[in-house]
Amino acid sequence: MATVELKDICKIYDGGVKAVDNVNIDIHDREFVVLVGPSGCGKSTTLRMIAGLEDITSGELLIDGKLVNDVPPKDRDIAMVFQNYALYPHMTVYDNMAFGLKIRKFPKEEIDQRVREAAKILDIEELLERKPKALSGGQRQRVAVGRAIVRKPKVFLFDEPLSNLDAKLRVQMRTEISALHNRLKATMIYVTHDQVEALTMADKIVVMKLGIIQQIGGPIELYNNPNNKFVAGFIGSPPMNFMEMTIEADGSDLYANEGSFRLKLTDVQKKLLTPYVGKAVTFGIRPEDVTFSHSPKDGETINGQVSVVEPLGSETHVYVATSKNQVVGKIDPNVTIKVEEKISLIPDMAKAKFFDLETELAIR
Amino acid sequence: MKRYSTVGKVLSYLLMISFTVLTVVPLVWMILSAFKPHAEIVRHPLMPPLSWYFDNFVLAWTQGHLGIYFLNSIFYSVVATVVTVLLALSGGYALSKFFYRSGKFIYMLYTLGLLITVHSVIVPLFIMETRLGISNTRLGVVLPYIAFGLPFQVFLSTTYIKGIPDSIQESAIIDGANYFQIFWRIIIPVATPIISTMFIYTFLGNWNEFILVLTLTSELSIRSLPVGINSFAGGMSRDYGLQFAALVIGTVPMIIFYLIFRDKIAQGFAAGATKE
Repeated sequence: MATVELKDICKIYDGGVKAVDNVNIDIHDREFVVLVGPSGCGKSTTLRMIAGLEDITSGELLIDGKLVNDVPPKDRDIAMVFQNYALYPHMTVYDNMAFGLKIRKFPKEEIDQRVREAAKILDIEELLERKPKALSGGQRQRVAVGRAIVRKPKVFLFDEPLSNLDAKLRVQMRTEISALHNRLKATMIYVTHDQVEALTMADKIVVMKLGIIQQIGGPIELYNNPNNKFVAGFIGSPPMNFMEMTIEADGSDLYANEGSFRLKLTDVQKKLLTPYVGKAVTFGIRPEDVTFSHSPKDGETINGQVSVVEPLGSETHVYVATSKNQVVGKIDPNVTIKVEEKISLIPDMAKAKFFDLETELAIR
Repeated sequence: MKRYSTVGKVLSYLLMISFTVLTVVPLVWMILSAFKPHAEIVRHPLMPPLSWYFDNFVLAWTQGHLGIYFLNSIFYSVVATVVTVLLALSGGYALSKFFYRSGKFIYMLYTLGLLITVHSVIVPLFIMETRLGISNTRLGVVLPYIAFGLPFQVFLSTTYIKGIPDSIQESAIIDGANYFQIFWRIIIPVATPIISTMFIYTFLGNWNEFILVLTLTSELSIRSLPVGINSFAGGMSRDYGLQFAALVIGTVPMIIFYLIFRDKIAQGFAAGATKE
């Protein structure tokens, strides 16, 4: 298997549009790296540059330590799974999987052995003689993965492979791809806009926005210590609540004041936010880091009126409108709450995040 | 509302029936008349034949040299069609999947060719071919056939191939295929429906072509069926029976051809319209 290094990679399209801006990523051997971000963040372009389907405007791309900027895709020893599967519609599943090996003039026996081996791994042995149009979405996706597996490439690339599947199948395939990674012990680079996919599958997540890397880290690291407001809001579902609050001093304590309520800062936060006294910052708290209360307490609770209640069975999402903001909390599904009821949410202040209002960087 | 739709249905059926009658009756009349001697056609033009008179076909075939014209028609149609379709497909592939900056301009040039009629360039074409020394040769017929066939065929193939997802080509590139292999092993098989349409359309056009062969050739040995059939009209003698028999010889192969491939023609156009 292989390492992949992206050094100061830029992609500028005709007309000066900068799709990827100075991207640096080190991907270790056998690592599962997920590039995640909203549409237009440059994640697919980055993947396509690794594949060789897009030219690199500047920077260096190394696979296994070898510079491959000008190496054609077929010689990079990579395989790619596309969003729309990209199966050859006129070929059977067997021929689809064998195509790459036939082109590379592998002996027939080896092609047969590899195709059947991959089909066994993916549990598609009975589909080998079918054409793609006779397959369901999930089966097509398996064939697309199989086509990559038979090649035994150094690096697997996945371009939003699950986004055309329904929710249930997506969860199933997610697990299967993770299991496949463990089995093949291959280097895999996976692009998605779905943060849940990123969190559940990745060893390392690269969060991108407007062509720029916002943060690289493990799933828990990104969740607990986001670099900036964008990463904090992108990772987690429902997303982190953000409120603009003013830092104020009251005696020896510091508070973050929203207008209709204020929250007392912890000692650690006090140290960090002392320079911000009298200034506005962005306060962030995850929905799962609040608990429900009926009694408002100065310095401890977020107070407001319930606007929406979403019972999900295992938990309930309650949307609370404060005087200026809306806050969502994940609460115990056994608690009965009605719309328009006045309630309070107690944030776990140790888990609260603060971001600079202008730079949006985490204050830490 | 229901009454309106019933009236509408009746009217549309009437219109379609009239159109069918207008198309089919002359065809049937031509076929029936081909089995009547000249005198009988003149005396009873609309009546079916009193007896089946086959001599018209034998005489037309031998006196009118339809055998050689028939072979020439097959040669021109097959060669020009194969070359036109191959060129149009490769052009369509390049124009729709290579994303050259000049691609749009070249495509525009091709489609502009749709506006040029044979009649408007026939004289300069004749002069050009004479100067090149290819007038009155088979090459001199086939080349303009290809040139006049290309604009529409490039339009058809470009539109269809554009509809084939780029990711299929990219997938083949990563699989290790070169552009020729992608064209031959992926694009052509995937584009089969439109290729059938292109073949049939071009073949029919070439088979029926008249003005180019008439103008660019003078030797009997390289002329095609439409010109041969035309030679039965006019001149000093007139035999309607022979004319109709010659017309049937020229038309029937195309009708059979159409009946065999009509599904493909419909599929091709439908596939072009609804390709994902």
